[in-house]
Amino acid sequence: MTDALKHFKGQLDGEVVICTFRKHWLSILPTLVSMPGLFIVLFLLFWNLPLLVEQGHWMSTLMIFALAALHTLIHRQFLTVFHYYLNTVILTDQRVVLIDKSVFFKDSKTSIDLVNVQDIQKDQVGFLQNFLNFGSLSFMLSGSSSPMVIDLVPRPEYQYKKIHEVKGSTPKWRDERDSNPRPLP
Amino acid sequence: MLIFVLLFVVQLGSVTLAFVALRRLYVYIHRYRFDESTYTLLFGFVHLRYFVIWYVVMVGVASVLELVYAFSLLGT
Repeated sequence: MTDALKHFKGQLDGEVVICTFRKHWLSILPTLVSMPGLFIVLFLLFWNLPLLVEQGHWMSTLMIFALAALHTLIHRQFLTVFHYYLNTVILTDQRVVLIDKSVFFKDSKTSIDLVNVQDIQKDQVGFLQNFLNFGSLSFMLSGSSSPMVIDLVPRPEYQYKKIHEVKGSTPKWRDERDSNPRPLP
Repeated sequence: MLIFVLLFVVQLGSVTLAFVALRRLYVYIHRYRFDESTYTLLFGFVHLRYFVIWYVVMVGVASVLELVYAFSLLGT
């Protein structure tokens, strides 16, 4: 499969994407709330520019630091938003892939093979989780004592059902491969 | 003059960072297509491009502010 046809980095040949989702918007709420604040600061600086120019040397020195900090904050906030958009969970017909990608600093991927999943647990505890319809999914894996947890999953009931559906219809070629393992050289 | 140069360096660095970030972002999202729907978008309707536009506007406005301030200082 060429890159042009892929939905994520590392997608296998013949692997079909069933559904995708991002984390719940609650994970990005603090960033979104602080964004209008940046805009207001920018507007106020523009509004008071003539006044700031008239001040002495100390004000221009202060302004360099203030503007550098403002630029840093703008980049930080928007890169966090881009991280939210790139951070995805993809359910395919073979596995669940957790992609943790940011623009500059992260490119991690965790894959849970559906064959190794023994049990899936959906947790939606508390008023907020039920009111805003999000929760966590825990995957009990064979050969591992601790479960693999995906938190802040939106519409967890739908994802839970979808994973069960996919797990119940494991492709035939996998059964054949598992029953007839390739002989060791 | 030193303050002018410093302000200019900060502005140039910021615009360059924004350009590189957006380029990396667009290269990635064009290579690996993501089927967006009401259930994947933020609040069901906010596309990534809205934030990209807002980002460009914010960096642009901050840079213009800095440039105007720098030239005003030169004039005094």
